[in-house]
Amino acid sequence: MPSTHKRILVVDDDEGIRNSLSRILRGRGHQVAVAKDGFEALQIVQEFLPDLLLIDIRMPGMDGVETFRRLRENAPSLVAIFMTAYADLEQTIEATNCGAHSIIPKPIDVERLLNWTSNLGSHT
Amino acid sequence: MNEPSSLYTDETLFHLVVDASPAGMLIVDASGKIVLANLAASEYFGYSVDEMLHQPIEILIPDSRRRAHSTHRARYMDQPARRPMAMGRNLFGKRKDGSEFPVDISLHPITVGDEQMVLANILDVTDRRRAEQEREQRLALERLALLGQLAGGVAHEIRTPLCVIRNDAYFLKTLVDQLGQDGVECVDEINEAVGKAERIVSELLDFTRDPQGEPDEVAVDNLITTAIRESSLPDAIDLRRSGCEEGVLLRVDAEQIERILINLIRNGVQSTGGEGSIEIHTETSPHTVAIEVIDNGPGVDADHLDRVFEPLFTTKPKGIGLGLAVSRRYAERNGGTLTVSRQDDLGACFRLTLPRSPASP
Repeated sequence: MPSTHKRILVVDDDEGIRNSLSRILRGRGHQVAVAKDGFEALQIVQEFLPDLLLIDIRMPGMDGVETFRRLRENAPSLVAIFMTAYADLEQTIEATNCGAHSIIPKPIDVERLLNWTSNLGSHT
Repeated sequence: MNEPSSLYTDETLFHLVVDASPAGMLIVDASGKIVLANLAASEYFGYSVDEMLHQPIEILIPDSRRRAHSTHRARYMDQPARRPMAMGRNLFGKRKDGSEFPVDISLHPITVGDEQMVLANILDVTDRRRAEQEREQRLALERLALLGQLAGGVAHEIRTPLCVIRNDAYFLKTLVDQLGQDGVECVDEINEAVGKAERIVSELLDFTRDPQGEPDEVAVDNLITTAIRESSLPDAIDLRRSGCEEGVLLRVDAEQIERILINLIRNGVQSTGGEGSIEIHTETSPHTVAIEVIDNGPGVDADHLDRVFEPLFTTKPKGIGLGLAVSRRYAERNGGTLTVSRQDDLGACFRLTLPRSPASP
């Protein structure tokens, strides 16, 4: 049975988001690494293999979808939850099309995020 | 250089010059009668030159402005002065067939013999006015598009710190042992405030986005149930449902209609100060369904009844007054209407009418 504690990579260009999310997730027993953009994310996965990618869909430079695609090349079972401050239909479609697990609007419903995270990989 | 003197005395040449002008030319005497009309004037107004001669100038003025024009003419003849074109007046001419068209007119006082007269040069500016209107519409659209872009950026910039605040409030609440009762209340207040700020951002985005709806067959009772659930009613509110909701189908974009109902319910909650009663009443007729949201608050002021749907209009100390504007727009986008009436002693009644699905029983 998969552990409820996951390895999570948080990618967001805002430092407050990275810190506040990793604090909550670590408080729940998850292992968390953070990256401020796609490039940093690509470097980090060389030493930290995440189960879950929690990533902002729109970032300067490499955006969320592109980063997910690249990371998934070497880790096909990687699950992604996209975060967005825009929450429009276009983005939802984009996220779904690239195989994301879900898209969550900011400000985040933390309970919902934590539930999804714990249930990842289980087939209930 | 020798000036050809005949230029000034040759009558045939005079008429040629006058008739060659693309501007309509009229000479009007002191009593307001037309004494000269050129070809262009004849073409503009649809009368032959002969038909115009000796007629009062007022036959060329739209009925609604005739009386005012006589007064202006009298005043002008008292103190005649050259008045150039396009002095910002909204002038119209009237044709023989009764139709009206926008004109620009310049006036020149002239003396013919010992009589004081006026020469009027007239241009039909229908094309120009239309071009101006189209330009204004285009500018308005561009401004709206820019506003949309701006709103998107602002939404992102505000939602990011709101997200951090909410995340941190969540974490703080897990430290409940160290917080104490006051600390917990603080955290709850923070969450409430974040919720309010987020709703304002959403309202602004909704207003500037104006998305196309995706109409589908939707059951009225489900819509109302969902809207009530999403409205997070305070316990002190007594909510009733009445009328005939069951089995009634609409052909609308469910999410947009839900937004309208949530907005109306929330308004009702605010009007009653968080404790009062709200009734949601559904009526059907062969082709439409009307959903009324009625509260027992103070109702909308009679003076404000036709203004509440204006963007940015609000009588409440909070909020930015876009909720009803967006709601009405959604209603209209879905082929319906949203109106408000005042029920004496009973509060406000917002009435949302929507088209029924053809498949509705």
